[in-house]
Amino acid sequence: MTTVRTGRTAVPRRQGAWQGTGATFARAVVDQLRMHATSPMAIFSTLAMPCVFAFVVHANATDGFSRRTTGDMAVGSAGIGMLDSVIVLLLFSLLGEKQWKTLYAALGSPGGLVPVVLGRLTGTALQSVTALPGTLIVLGLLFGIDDGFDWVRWLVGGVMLSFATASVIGLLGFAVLRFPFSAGMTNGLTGLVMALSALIVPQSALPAPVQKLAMIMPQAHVMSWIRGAGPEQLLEAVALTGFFCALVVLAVQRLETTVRRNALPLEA
Amino acid sequence: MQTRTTATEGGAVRAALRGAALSYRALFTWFNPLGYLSSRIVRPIGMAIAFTSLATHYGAGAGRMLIASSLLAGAGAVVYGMALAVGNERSFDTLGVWLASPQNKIAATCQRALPHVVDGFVGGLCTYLVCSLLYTTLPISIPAYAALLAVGVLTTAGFGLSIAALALLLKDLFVGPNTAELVLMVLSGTLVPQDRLPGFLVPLSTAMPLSHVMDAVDNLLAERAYGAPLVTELVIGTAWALAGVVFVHLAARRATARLALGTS
Repeated sequence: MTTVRTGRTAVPRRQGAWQGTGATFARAVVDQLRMHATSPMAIFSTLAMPCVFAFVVHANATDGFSRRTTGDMAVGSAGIGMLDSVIVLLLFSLLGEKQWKTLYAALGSPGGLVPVVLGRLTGTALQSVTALPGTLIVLGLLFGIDDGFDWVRWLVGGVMLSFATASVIGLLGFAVLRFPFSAGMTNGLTGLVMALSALIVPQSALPAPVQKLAMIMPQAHVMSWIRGAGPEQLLEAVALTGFFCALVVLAVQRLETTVRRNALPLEA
Repeated sequence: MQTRTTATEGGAVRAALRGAALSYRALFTWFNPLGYLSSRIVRPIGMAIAFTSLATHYGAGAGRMLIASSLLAGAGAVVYGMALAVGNERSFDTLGVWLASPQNKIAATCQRALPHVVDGFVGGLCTYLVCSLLYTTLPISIPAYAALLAVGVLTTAGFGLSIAALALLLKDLFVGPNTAELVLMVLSGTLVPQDRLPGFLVPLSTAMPLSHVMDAVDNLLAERAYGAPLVTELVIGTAWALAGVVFVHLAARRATARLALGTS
């Protein structure tokens, strides 16, 4: 009787757990967009920074290169905004979760911390996509659009770049949750990841040691595809994005175990 | 009598240095190993790699951009440091106490700039050395670069005074220094040479710190005399410092009045 009962209730329970996890994930995405979509820092990061970088790139482009907005210039500049906004927004949102002590409730829920972190991360990625059209409008007005502008690569590559960036920066989310936050600890990421992602120059233009490191960054492969490489670069980018997402999930699950076993505080 | 005067002067210098060191410890939030390394070493080096690669990609050679982005690293540290040295009074809820204290706000702001000038110099030098190793080139000798950087961080400190004044007025601490950094990127002649700027921006560019240091860099790379631009740079820096003094004075007065009205 007991066995039958367990057998009958086990499936709905598991379904309920999955539904709960999905609902937590969706709630985290919505919360992210609701709370930070119009913050001054988000707008500054997603629009002002990429436009300035694009201006620098354009001013340094010499004869023989296009003087109008090309696909790689538009996506690369937007990518700088995406990177900066994902870092800033993820930091603010996860520090907020720590401060409000909502992570303990999430820890007690069926899905644990993973849907909250992934939801926040997805929210920041979606939010950072706004850098793509925003930057293009400004660059189009300033420099005009190049005749050979590839709209498909711009759109697909731009969206892919935002999720690739979010997957890499997801590891920062784990670090923010696991360790006490110290001011300035994330500032270096913008410069470092920007250089490794080959956003404003092709990977081949980077110094040799940096080129090798860039191979493991999904953004560098996305940018390579946008610059005209074959679809295998996009596939590599998708695979690496998946790999970084899996790393984030594993790291957060490991964190859950540590919190439960060692009573690690989640509010420091 | 002379001995006493010397002793008093020595005491004043020691007090000024102690105050500067205290302000750095108390008000500079990145004063922890991870924060410092990340903000002052890794970030500028990453940026310098990106910009130097940009120059080499377009066939301009690494030299000028390597020097420019390293100088910008030093200047950025000064601007952020000075903005935080004043703005963090608001973050730590001590702004009211500081404004109410009898301390001369202009002198205090200048005193707080001291460690950031040194810090900017260290950051700019590190960036130059690391990038020179990465690109296996040393465009100008280290002493020559150090002299240019010293002038650059000093004149940027004058500009930083105005940004510090802004930190007294704006609630969002990072809006001022973030914007200032972008302005320096575009207008200081570092990342964008003046002859590539739109005409209407050129006069603005000549009034920015670092723009004449970059003239000196161009002269140095072309093996021409480079002393005159540095003198002009120091004049520009002094003008910014004087403007900054006025801004700090006005901003402190306004902040004090708003504090008294309870609207700060």
